[in-house]
Amino acid sequence: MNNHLFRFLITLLFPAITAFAEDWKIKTDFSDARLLDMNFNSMRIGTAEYEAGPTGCTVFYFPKGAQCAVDQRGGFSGTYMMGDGYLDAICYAGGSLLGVEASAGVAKGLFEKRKSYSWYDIPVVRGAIIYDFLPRANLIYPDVTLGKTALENAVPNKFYMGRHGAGRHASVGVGFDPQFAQWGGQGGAFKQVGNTKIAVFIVCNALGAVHGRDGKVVAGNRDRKTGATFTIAEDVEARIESGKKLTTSSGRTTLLLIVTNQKLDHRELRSLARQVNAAMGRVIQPLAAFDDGDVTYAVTTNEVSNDRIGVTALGVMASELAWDAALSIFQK
Amino acid sequence: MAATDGIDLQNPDLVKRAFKPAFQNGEGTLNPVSEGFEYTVEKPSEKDYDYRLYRPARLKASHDFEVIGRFKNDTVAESSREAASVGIEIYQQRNLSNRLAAELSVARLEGYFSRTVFSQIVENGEKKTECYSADLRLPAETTFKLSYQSSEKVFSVYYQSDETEEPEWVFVGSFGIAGSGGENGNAKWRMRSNENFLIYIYGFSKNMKVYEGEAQIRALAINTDTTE
Repeated sequence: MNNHLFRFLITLLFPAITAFAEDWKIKTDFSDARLLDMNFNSMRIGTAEYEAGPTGCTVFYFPKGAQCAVDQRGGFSGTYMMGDGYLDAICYAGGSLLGVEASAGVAKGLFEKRKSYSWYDIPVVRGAIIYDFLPRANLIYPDVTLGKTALENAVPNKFYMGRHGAGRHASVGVGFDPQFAQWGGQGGAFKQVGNTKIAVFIVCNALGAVHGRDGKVVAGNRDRKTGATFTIAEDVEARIESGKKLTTSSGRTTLLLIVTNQKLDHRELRSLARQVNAAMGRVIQPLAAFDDGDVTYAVTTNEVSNDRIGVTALGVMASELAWDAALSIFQK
Repeated sequence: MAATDGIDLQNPDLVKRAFKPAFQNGEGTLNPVSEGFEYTVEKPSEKDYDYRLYRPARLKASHDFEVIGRFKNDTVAESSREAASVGIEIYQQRNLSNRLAAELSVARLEGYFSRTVFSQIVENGEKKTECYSADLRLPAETTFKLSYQSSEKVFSVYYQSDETEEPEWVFVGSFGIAGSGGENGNAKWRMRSNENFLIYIYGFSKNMKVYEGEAQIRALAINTDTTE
């Protein structure tokens, strides 16, 4: 029996054991990926993956520090140091609750870089995860090493769209039956108005389907045999009529991140996070369900003043960008 | 009547002759660039700096004058161990332990990234007092003004943010050198009216790599009062 055949058979018999036996080789080269066209130099983005998962994490590092507000609406969110206030970095990762380890890895990387135990230098990293163990069915998750590696590779303006980083093994539109799901991923959108910059990032592993600007389903809730799509409301009605069960199979999550350089106070940041999160109800249906772990962070690097753009307008722009970000995942 | 000490910063030979190397530590280097100097550090240590003395300046304690220029400091202090600044210092020529500094400084203040115009006055080698701009997150480029009023023997520090549509001078603080007159404190330099000041420009950093284009002093000009 040759080595490849042996490994294949072992994989079928003991998938979890095989995963642990694998060399957890880290991938940081994404030269073939689609890049978001953006200009936000005060934020560095790092991506790292375990290809054997596959799973990964995406780190957003703010070298000058930043302020954040969180809007947590999911029924079961997996987070690391969730809350409002100062932050050095945000780490979004796969691996469900195990994946919060990647956030600790980012903190470890910053701690080693700073070489300081001063109270003021302790890294403040906030993180959130998605459940991405299905259908890959192995025990690999983003750990301390992966988070630290992503930080070490963080550079300005390099955000990879599609099935990369935290969205490496995401899927959307699971609804009440995993067979209707499609691959998700991570997406982004960027806009500059005057000196105000807004970037929105999404890791889409939603229970719900993603809807386009015309209201039609773009991803998820798709019958693979016929290619037909349906809304979650149509699915509920059809299942009531046919007597099928109306329960979900596993938890899912949408992670959003809104970053602006415009100076905002805490109340304004909180409002921005809420407004964008609420507007995402147009895009992902259902959103923030009991079986979702949805988390939205709004971050400001507090670099520029712009009295021509109020917080509400900023929220409208960020909401549209969030929609674009979700759709960007599925563009070729 | 005011006259400008014309510093032809476009001419590299003149720049070299006008700005003489003075004090240097570690790998900190002030290199000539278009319209001025930039500070770089390749291999950082706990204290890197480079000072250059501006030779043509002959500034007497009995004359009003002002020094204007542009600071750029786009460095990033990622922890409280790190800091970087570019600035200008005015020394009493006969006693170099008396000096006044104004700089655009990047540091972490109580953990938060800050970029401020910082100024301090030193008497006999010891800091007497200091002041910061009220805005702790200034833009990376600011125009500064250091003015000396001979009648009161007071230095005042101002800056202009390049981001505002109609820039105006923002007062940072003032210091007297004859024991009175300063809003933020005074020193006693015991300086006679016929004594001269010296001008130095500098770059300073701690534990920080400073890349090309990040820290600069440009468009330096000295306006002097010609009346006795």
